[in-house]
Amino acid sequence: MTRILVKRIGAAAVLWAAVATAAFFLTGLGGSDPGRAILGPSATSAAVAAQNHELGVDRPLPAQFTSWAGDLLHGDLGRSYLTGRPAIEGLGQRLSVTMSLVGLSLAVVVGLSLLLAVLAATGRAGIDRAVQILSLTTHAVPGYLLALLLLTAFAVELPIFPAFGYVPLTASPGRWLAALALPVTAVALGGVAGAALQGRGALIDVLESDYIRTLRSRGVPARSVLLRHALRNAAPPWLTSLSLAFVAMLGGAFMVEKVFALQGLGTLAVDATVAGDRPVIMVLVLLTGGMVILVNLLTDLAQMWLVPKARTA
Amino acid sequence: MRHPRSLAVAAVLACTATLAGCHQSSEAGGKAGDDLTLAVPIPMSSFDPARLNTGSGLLYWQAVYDTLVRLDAQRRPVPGLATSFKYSDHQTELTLDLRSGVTFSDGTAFDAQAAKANIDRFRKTDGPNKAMAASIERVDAAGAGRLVLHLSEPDPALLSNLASALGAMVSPRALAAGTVAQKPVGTGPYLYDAAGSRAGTTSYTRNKTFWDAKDFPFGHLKIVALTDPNTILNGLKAGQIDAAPIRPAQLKSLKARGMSSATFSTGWKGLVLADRAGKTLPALGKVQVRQAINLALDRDLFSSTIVPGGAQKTDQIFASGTGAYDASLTGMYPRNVAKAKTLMAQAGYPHGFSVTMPDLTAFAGTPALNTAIDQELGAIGIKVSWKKVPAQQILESMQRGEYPMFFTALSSKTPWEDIQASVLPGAAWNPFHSSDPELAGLVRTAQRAAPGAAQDAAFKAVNRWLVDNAWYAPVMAPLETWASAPGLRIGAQSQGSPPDLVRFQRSAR
Repeated sequence: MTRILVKRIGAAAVLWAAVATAAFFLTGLGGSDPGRAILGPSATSAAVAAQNHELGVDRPLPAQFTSWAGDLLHGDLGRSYLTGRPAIEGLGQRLSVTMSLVGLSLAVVVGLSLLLAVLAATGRAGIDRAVQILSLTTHAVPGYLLALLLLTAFAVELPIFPAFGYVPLTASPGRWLAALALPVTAVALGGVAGAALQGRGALIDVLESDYIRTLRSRGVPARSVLLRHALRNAAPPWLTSLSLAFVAMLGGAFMVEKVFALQGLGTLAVDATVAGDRPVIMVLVLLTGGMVILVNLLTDLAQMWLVPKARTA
Repeated sequence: MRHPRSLAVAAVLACTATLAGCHQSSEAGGKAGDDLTLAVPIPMSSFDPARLNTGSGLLYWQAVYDTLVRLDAQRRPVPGLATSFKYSDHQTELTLDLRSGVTFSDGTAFDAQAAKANIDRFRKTDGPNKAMAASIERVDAAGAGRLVLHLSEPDPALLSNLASALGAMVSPRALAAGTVAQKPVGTGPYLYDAAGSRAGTTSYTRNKTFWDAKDFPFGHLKIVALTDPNTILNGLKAGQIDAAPIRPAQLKSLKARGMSSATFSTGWKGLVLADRAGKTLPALGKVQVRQAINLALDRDLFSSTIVPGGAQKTDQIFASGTGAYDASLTGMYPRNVAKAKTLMAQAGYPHGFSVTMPDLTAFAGTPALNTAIDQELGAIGIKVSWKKVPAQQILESMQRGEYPMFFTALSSKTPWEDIQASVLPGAAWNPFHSSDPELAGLVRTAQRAAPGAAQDAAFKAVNRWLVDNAWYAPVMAPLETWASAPGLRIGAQSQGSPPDLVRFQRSAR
């Protein structure tokens, strides 16, 4: 078990480094011009070249990468080309917005998909069909479009929720929830659909297996069969779909942030990319790449904990 | 089992009602209240005068900083923190008498020493605004109430720069502490509310000691950074924003909700016929060819179809409302293909020529711009090849002289700033360093003329020369439309968007 754990963590670290390296070289391919972004369109070419020289972005890309990686190993993530402030500054505030959105969405996906999966797998055929239709319908509507529809309906025509913006949880829990209600709905619905269908399929397979029939024949109560035995064994595919849903939601959150003008990581990523602000882009790559890798690692660990068979894989 | 389900439904309904209540109570107020919420397209970046954004980010710092000079609605310099200002006979010395009894929000008194500390620091600090102080050789504080700026040469843009970042006054204590980028300490109408601000939202409260409170009637100001046109539209409709720049096509639905609008001129769009000496494209060295290009363009099509409702046609680079603008030049190049062809033949190009220009489809958001230029220049035999250039390299490639002619959008400021940016041989937007003795003489006269009617006339002469010699082929002056909620009025301003903060005033509902 320990050996598997060490191997998984080692592989995750290598993957993280590879993603960061690839991202660094990709940002160099676009021919970014931070000097122009800083000095504006009226600056002369000579002034822009001098500014780029000062920032060190006129050096060959491998040399820039070596400096960046060296600084990173010393805990220095660099300074934003645009503001001259540390690239990591203000990231906490942005992260709290995106994590509120994705965290709440994940909670909704976990709760609703589990409920729908159980209802569909154990209920009557009518309920099963309704859940499938609902899942497929929500899966088919892009989050961006759903966000626009929700916004028009529940913020503009029926002014129940705010049309944009974010309120920190510490400032007002009620307004925090109100500000996130529509974005979370838009982000979570697609995830609910996918995870519910996966969970339903896995649960039906498990419920039809021999050992469940044996348990039933021995008079184990239906609730115990479902909660203690069937759900535990149906969990791996559901957990995998949840980890995929998390990654999709992170991507979807970036789009939905734009619609609701939530100043999270997505908005920062777009601004930094447009301005060619590589230090900020790289901080975001390290952070979001790290999050995706971490979630996958945690999913693996959860599967090992739930299903002993997975520990030998 | 019915009971728990009823409870759950009741709980959901109660939550929704509570959330709705939270939202509505937070948004109550509007113009009947004391809050003003404005939307602009970029987030707040820095309160350091050397790095202030003097374009779309103008309102962020106008809220906290007062300037030595202000510009009125016609963009003429009027007193601000300086009660009067006067040039010496040769326009190389500007004397400013400063307002007494003004204090910064940290309690420091505003006087000539404070103003000198600000301008001296500005001159030495690198940043996008440094050029504003390029003509200042020395700053003298003559007593507590008088500041004298000694210039290396006359600088017709100086007064408008003193109404911008150069004239934004910060407490010398904050400058010394080095915290000004994040913690502004000014004498302006509002105080920065750090606790109420977060990424994308900058909040301010009224500065109770501000000397000119009557012009800034709102107790709280909030500026939000919004880029998505639909979000802005929804924010206006939902009452979360009081005023914002919008797309002209959105105006109808907003007017139906009782909102008002105002338009502001921002600059010009058109062709820069850059290679005027014909170094890389000999045809452009002929004035007849450049005039023919101007005659071939259908300015009505550009301003009515390509930017519907959002532009006025023009054939000069200076903005209407400035001293250099000459209404009599409008219509100098009406579309006339026959005359254009004759000019091309006279120049020795009866069959036209080929030229490569950078493709701006990504910027324009539509291929219609390329199609229109293809058709119109094609009518006089000019064949355009469009070269795809990565967005981040496009300005640089234009300014490096890679293209003998190109379509671009430039902002208009004061005439002298426009001349510095586009006309002087070393200007960023004069990539082939074009020059002409006659033009140089006209520019010199304008630079040295006494501000007012004489200088305006001299700038008009420069403008006429540029139009006559067809250094450019401007087609339209884009207008930015702002919508405002009932109860809020945005005053007219001859040029520039966003409008100054002082233009936002209450009005009868």
